[in-house]
Amino acid sequence: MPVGRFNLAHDSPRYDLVDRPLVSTRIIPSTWSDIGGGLFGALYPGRHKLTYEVYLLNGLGDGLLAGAGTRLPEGRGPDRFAEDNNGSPGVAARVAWDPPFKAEVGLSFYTGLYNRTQQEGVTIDRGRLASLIALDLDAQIGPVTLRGEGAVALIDVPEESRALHARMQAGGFLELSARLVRRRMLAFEAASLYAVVRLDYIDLDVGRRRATGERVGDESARISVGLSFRPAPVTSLRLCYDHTWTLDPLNNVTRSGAIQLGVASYF
Amino acid sequence: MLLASGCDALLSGAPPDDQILDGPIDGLTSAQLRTFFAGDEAFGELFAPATGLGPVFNQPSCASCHPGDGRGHPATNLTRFGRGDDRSSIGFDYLRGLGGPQLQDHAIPGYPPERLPAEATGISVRGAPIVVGLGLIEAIPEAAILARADPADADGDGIRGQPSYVIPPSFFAPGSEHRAVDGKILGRFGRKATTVNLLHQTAAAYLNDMGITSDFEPADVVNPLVGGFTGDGVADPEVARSTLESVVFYLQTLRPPVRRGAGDPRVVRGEQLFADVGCAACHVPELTTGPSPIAALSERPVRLYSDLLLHDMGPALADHFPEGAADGRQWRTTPLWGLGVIGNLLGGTPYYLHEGRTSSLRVAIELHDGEAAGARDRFAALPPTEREALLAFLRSL
Repeated sequence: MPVGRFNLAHDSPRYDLVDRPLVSTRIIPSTWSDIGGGLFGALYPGRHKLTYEVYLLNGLGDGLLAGAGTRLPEGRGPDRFAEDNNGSPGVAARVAWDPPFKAEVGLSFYTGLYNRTQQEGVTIDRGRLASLIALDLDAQIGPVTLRGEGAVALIDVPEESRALHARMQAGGFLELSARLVRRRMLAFEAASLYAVVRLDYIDLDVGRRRATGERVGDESARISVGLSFRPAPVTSLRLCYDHTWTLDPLNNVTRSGAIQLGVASYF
Repeated sequence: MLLASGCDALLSGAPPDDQILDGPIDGLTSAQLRTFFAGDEAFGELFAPATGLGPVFNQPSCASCHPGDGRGHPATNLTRFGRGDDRSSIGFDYLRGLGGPQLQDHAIPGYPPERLPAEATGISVRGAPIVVGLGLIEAIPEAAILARADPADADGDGIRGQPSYVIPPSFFAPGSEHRAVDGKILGRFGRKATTVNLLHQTAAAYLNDMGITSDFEPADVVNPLVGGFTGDGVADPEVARSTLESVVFYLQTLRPPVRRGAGDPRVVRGEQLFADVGCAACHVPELTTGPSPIAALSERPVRLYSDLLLHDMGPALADHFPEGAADGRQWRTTPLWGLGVIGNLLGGTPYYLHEGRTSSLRVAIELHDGEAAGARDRFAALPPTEREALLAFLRSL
């Protein structure tokens, strides 16, 4: 699914932290694949590159109205690789611009009906859209890499479910990674060591409570720092620490910290 | 030391026991603790349409209404409704053909939720109460509750205290401690004391609040305006008997709230004033449990600050919804334990009274009327420092 750069390029060895970004897993439901068809290509105006891709596909299902609230990843039911639940294809598309230096800026969207609208030819509900728009950035300047992704989700939730399910979600992350050393280390000819920091924020229910006027919680913020040792460019051994603040729907705060050790490579 | 404080800052720890409500009562065996934690998990289970939620419901989990085992946020208040003379439940029309008595205002996708009918005259909006210490309340002998009842105000103090006798559900198995009166059993749980024990309360909440059927309540609640056999398509019962029973055990063995600052001179003075102005006439500081099959609950003092009886609370708090033995102005004396902690579980804002209409303890007291009018007036007449001491005592509970 061409929604957000992370979903297109989610291989763990590309990254230097253990956990994936919150916006790219909790709002954009990476890893997100689907059945469908489309076209893609590239244009080369001058020294620039413009890529595009657009697909028609089954899309998310009504599992996204989950018990815990609106959860787009729950909409990736196993049926998405079989018959569509509403016979109306979703659309996903992304355009990206590569300037004449190591960078890419992408804009992508997805929209599609998520609910079952007919059963045996009889209409049982009107079609309801789940839509996502995402902006992503990946730029490399010397030994420094800057990555970021932001997304907004809009969901047409039935009136009777609006107290429990969000109609809007939003979030983003910004990650800065810097190569500290590249030289022979231990037995590795071109080893390198990276330091990385990432800020994450998601709001899974953007809005206010009708009863009290308070903001609805259901938010998370996280700061992650890490060191990544790459004995070879495609292998990363990382030591990370992240600290997460989570607001439940009633705005109760919980704080959690974790130290993680990870290894990622291709084999 | 430096390392320890650094770790505290970087890695999270559990909040102190006196700032939260969950946790088992002391003295449980390992087998009991296993059941407690099974119940804890079931209490937090989020139901979905595929696991039996609905077809109509209020919230998808127990914990949605009782966050952190505390009281409900006003956003999760539920509504009961009916029509008629609110002086008695006999003859009151619960509008069952229109979805009464409880408004299930949410529904699974594609199913219409209930709507409050225009015919309703008695509309009771109420929040879920805190659920800790309930096993201790369940183990208080009926005689101890009835000893404080004075429905005819024989002592002339203006405080009556009416026992709430209700018809028990068919699955209720009376024990030797229960004394039926005209086929009715003393109710002690719920805002109007309409449920007789925690099994009754839990099975009813699974069904009416979440639309989850059990061996005890085997038929789904449906929107009567849609049709009588339009369930959620999930085979009944939707929760195993063992799961529901583990939740009952969990509720029985959740420890009561831990006091904070009980020895503070201002709090001690406030406790004295609480008794002096007459609050303690209904908010009885301590009752004692009788024998219980759960040893940790047996013969224990219960500092709940309630007499578990019904009292007329006056027009400002009236909901005009008679229920069981309670009329439209009566409420069961709410236990005050946990009063100082509930805000910690509601995003920092405490909500008081049955529907959480105020976050001010002073306002909550001022809204007391009826049998509590005297105590309210004596509280209002206290010098400001004494009033603050009494409020400090309440916040220590």
